[in-house]
Amino acid sequence: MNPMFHRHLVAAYAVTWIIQLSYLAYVAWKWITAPKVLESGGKNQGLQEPR
Amino acid sequence: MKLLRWLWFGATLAVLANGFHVAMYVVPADREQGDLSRILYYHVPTWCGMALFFTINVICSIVFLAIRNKNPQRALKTDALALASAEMGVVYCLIGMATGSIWGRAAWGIWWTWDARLTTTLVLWLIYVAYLLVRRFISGPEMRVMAAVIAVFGFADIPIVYMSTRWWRTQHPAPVFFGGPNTGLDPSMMPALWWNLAGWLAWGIFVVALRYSAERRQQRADQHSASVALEAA
Repeated sequence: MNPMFHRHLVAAYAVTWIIQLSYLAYVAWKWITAPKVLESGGKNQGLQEPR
Repeated sequence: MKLLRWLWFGATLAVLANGFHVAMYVVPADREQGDLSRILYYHVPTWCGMALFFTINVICSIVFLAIRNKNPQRALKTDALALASAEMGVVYCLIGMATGSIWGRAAWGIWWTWDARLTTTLVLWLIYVAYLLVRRFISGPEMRVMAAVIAVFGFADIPIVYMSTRWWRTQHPAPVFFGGPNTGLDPSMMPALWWNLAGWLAWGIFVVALRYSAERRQQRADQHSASVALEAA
């Protein structure tokens, strides 16, 4: 039988991907919305709006 | 740096895709369990990932406690890495319990049992969830110190989880690896394990690097806001 039709196996793999992708989405959101401080020194140093 | 990040992500997806193919269609099914045994190829790499990231977390926590007064800037970097690795470890631990529970439902007929392995693992997960809650809801300069201390004590549960199937009689299967004579996977099954182990560890490193980067940005912004407020006062 094709292993893709084994419901427990498919459920375990699907749960793994759902949790990992959900966490990746959370991390990506944190990364995109994190404020960025310019590190060029001098007058330009300051806070940038979140991208 | 950005290019390296995306190259790493692309290579990780390729390794995971190949790992999925090898686990599903290349290696043979187990003689007794049949296709159900293929859950192992996701379940075991998950625990390896959890152990790796909780180890990074405890090393960073110890370094943070050691250098926080002498070198605050470097201590902040280790703290950011400690946070990123703890979150990733909690995610891997959750996946390990979920995939194990699905396997248990098919093999034992139950989702959960309070045996030593499962219980110590649940306690470990709760300790690190508590670590993350402390970081989230406690403010002030002592938050990072408190979190680092929790991480050091929490890590003590990892050897107990690992040894639980050796110290006590558990419903959880006996150790497959390093369990003594007549244990281990058949060599024909090993490629599926290696590919998925490499893929999921690379995935974890990518996500931790991204989370670390976001946390460092937040730390720099907080420092900048504090210095602006000081100048204004």
